[in-house]
Amino acid sequence: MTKETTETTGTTRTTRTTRTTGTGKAWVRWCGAVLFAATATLFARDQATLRITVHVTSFETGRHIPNASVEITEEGSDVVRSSRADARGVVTYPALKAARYHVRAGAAGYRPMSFGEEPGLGGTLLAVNAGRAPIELEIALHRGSTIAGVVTNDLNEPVVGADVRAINRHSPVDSRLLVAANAKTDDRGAYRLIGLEAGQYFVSATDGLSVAFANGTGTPATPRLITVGVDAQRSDVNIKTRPSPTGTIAGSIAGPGAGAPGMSVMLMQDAAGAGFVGVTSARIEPGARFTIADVPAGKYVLIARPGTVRAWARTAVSVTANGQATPTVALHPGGRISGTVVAPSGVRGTVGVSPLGADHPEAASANSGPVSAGSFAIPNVAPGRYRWLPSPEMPPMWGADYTPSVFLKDQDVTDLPFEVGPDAAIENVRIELTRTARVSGTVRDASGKPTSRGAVIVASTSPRDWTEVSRRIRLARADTAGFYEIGGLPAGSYTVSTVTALSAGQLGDPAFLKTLAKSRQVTLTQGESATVDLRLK
Amino acid sequence: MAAAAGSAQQATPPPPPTPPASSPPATSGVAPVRTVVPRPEGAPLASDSAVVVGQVVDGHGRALPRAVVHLIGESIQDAVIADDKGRFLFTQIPPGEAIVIVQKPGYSDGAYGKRRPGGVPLPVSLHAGEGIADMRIEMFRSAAITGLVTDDSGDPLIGVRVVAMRRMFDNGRWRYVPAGVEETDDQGFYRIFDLVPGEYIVSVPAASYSAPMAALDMTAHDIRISAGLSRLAGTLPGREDGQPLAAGQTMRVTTDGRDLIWSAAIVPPDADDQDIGYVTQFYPATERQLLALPIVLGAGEVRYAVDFRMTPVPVYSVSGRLTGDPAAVANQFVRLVPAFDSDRTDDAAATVTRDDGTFSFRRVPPGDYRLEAGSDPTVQEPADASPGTAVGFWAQAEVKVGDADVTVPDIEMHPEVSLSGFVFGEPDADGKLPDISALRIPVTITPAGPGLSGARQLTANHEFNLQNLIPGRYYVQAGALPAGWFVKSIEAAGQNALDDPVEVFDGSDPVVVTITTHATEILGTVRDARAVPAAGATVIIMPIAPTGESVWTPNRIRETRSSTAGVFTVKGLPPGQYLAVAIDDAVAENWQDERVVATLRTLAVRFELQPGESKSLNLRQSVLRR
Repeated sequence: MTKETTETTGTTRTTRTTRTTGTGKAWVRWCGAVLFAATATLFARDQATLRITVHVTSFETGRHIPNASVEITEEGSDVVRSSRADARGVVTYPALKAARYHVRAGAAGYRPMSFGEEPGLGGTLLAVNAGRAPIELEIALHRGSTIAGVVTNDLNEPVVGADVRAINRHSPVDSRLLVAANAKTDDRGAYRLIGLEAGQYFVSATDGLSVAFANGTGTPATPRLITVGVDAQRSDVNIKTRPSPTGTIAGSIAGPGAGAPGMSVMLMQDAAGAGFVGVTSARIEPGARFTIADVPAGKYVLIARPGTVRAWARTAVSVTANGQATPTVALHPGGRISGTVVAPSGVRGTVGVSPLGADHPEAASANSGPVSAGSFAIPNVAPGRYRWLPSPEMPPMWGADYTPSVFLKDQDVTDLPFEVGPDAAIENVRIELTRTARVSGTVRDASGKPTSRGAVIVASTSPRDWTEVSRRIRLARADTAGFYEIGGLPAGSYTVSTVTALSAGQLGDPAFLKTLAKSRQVTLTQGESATVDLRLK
Repeated sequence: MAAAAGSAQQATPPPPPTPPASSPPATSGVAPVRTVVPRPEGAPLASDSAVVVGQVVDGHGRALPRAVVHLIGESIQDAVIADDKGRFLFTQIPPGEAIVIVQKPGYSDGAYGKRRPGGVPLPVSLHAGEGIADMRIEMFRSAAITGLVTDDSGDPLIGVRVVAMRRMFDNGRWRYVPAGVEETDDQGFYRIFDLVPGEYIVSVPAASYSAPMAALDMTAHDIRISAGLSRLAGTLPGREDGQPLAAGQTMRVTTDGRDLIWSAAIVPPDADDQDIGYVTQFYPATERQLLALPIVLGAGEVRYAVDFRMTPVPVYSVSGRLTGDPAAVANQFVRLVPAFDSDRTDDAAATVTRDDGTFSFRRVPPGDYRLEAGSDPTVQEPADASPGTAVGFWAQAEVKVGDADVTVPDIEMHPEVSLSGFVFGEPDADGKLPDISALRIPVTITPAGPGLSGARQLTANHEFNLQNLIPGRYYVQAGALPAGWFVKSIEAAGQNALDDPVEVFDGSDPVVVTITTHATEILGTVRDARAVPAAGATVIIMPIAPTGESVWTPNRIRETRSSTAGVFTVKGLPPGQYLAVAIDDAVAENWQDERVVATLRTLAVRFELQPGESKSLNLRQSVLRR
């Protein structure tokens, strides 16, 4: 039995849907990343409690996984209930209240996965309604992909104890690097990186003095991307290290605060294509001096980690065989961002910026410190590419209906990455709280039944907003009752569409977003809620 | 105690400085390479220094590239990286004695004169204006043990710790000492490498831990254990490093509302529901360390298929109460040690008492155990000679777990005891006591049996006081004394404590250590079968007990090596009857084995040392077949 109530607010039709299942037992089977079947089979059973049973199985074998762990979190709550599966790989929650829940499972040797997780789409919410129906669901865990190989030196000797890493990018449009897995080589030089998502990775090996890459050539080796499929194993990703004559860096720190406690320098190598990778670091000794010995000849960048001093430094250094480089790493105060916060009294927070990309290793997060309404300033911002990160503490009664927006010359630039140059000054920034809009509705399959398959994409119609940090490109899964809801949207014009699969980074790809132009469109004003029911193609 | 004779006290010539303890850089990778060019033939040497040219080789005589070579002398410490042909060169070496040590990943440390992985370096004498042109140093490839760990249904167990323990002679007894630990990978495989060639047993340890919730400081993301319980904190899953949990890191712990319960290793399926657990397994498929199959690894050997199939067993709780002074019963570390195996010191279960002294062990498999309460005997605490240290408490009890939960009768806590002592210098001919107030005498005590406090050492001058000891029998030794001083006697309550352990109890008499400058001295030579001086031979000197058996008498056993000229010196042996034997160092590994000792006794030369005697001893290097 489904009951739908509708209320109208101003010009916006607001629909709140409540579904009540009379009696029954929902059996929701999910088969890993490939198949999802949300078959709500109802059985007549009179239960006094809302009982949920989670079966954790191996996608590979279909067998239950003993000792698996299950986390269940009510939507909007920070409280995570963790449980361990029994011998059958089963966890039972005898009495859960009606709500929507995130359910996530994990086990040693398997990738943790959410209930209903599909490639690129994430998990779906489990809708527990007031029908008191026992629900059984299955989460089939994947072992994930594996990259394995051997690290040897130029004499074909195994390199023992090398630190091997699989590194990938956030997305095709976001060049930030993430370490997806790491391992150490054994006495054979063998390593095994496990639990990887399908995708492309740089694979590096370091012995603490320099970095070598799989399939790399040249000095320093140029990294190549290693592609691994879903649950696939690449066991041929061997890494060859090359000897190099070495030199020494004996440098000094200069500028205000040089040599302050906690200061250090990081030696970074420009691994073409993979950005800057850290090689080693050195503490600053008395007299603001530092020494890094046995550095393979080559070109590097030295970055200061100033500790308590608010400054930045980046210096190129070239190391020659048996030579001694004597760079002076000069500290600079950095750029300054300032402006005004426009907010009702009682709202406090910080205005921050966070670095994007790997081209500026000296870039670092910075913020204003606690501010309320009035002027703010972010001093000592190192050069680099950044995103805005205003973080207000909203009064509880405001809920999530407001979002901070950043205006520069009356243009909303919140979703636009920006560059900070050396000693730059960005002034007259205005931070305002703007009321957000929301889109919700029901996703139905071809037969008209509500479904949680696929996902809903809400995207700005303006290509200007198609950035890697945009609040105006959003993805959400429908819950097990087919209901979806996307809030926190700035006012504007959007397309609303469904997808059944999404490759890594595709959501940020302008070419893909352009194909959504023919989808349903909705224009949202501040505070508006719109209902858009969708049919999954 | 009839047992094998004791282990090495290194006599002269001692290795000058301490070798580097840390691992060398991974030089086989992209590490720096300082190419070494040996001195050209005929090139002049500096007249005031020495030169060493050598090569690093493996057991087959093949050159080993890029090893780190350390030269450590009385006034020099230098290191170079051998070239791709294993060659190395040291120049400008001050004259004197030095040792040369070699390190390379994948190999046990090598050294000049070292003939076996467990051997010691042989010092070389370097003279001004001279050089050593053919120093050849052999390295011993490390060994490995690998296998699979599965549950009783054959599924791989992932992230399980597997421990390889090496058989070592320690404080007069053979023990298995942890030498390598690895976790199983996503396929259940493990590989323990970097093992020194020797004899090993392999185990998958399983121990159960719990702590009262009141002893914990828990947050959503972290669990900390109250100060003083660090021994337990180190067992928390994911907390071996003592650091807070990283984001995304998980701990598998459960609670019954009163105690927090966790396992050192693995928990079988449905352990919570059915009270089953794993018990420590030794290879192959035994719960008894005594029945473990020793694995003898040669240099570079890899032993495959050392597999484990873990089978759950019923487990039970063991509860009880400590009684005594309130300060002695609350917040005390309590553990169960398997008593069905001799020499086991690992935990079967451990917990902490509540404020009222009660405690509960969880998931204890059936078996005989020794309950130990109070300070952890396995911890080798630094001794505190200063008075005023807080008194600790201890208790021990036998616990038998059958097929039901066990409630142990109340266990009374006892105050720990102390051992005091004095050091006297031997009076001179006029009866005048020498002034030894400026001397620093290292005094060591070692337990003579299980369940006692761990070995401790302190530096005493004229008196010492070792506190917080569990009553029992301990050996007392005076270590390396200041130059020119030697131990003459050690006595307690008028009894000889030089050769026998001291009974330590509340109110026991102080120990008296008498040191003297009138030491015995043995000046010896070793020659081989052709009467040629034998360089680097191992010389073993052991006492003859009144019973005629070999006994563990740490103060009377010496092991040294003959110099490159075949001579050796041993100073400071207490007067008495001894046996001396010289053997090839290559076969001297584990000579303390009882069977080997019996053979050595048949090959040895018998002699007697009088007080202050200087004796000449000429030995022929014996052939020891093992």
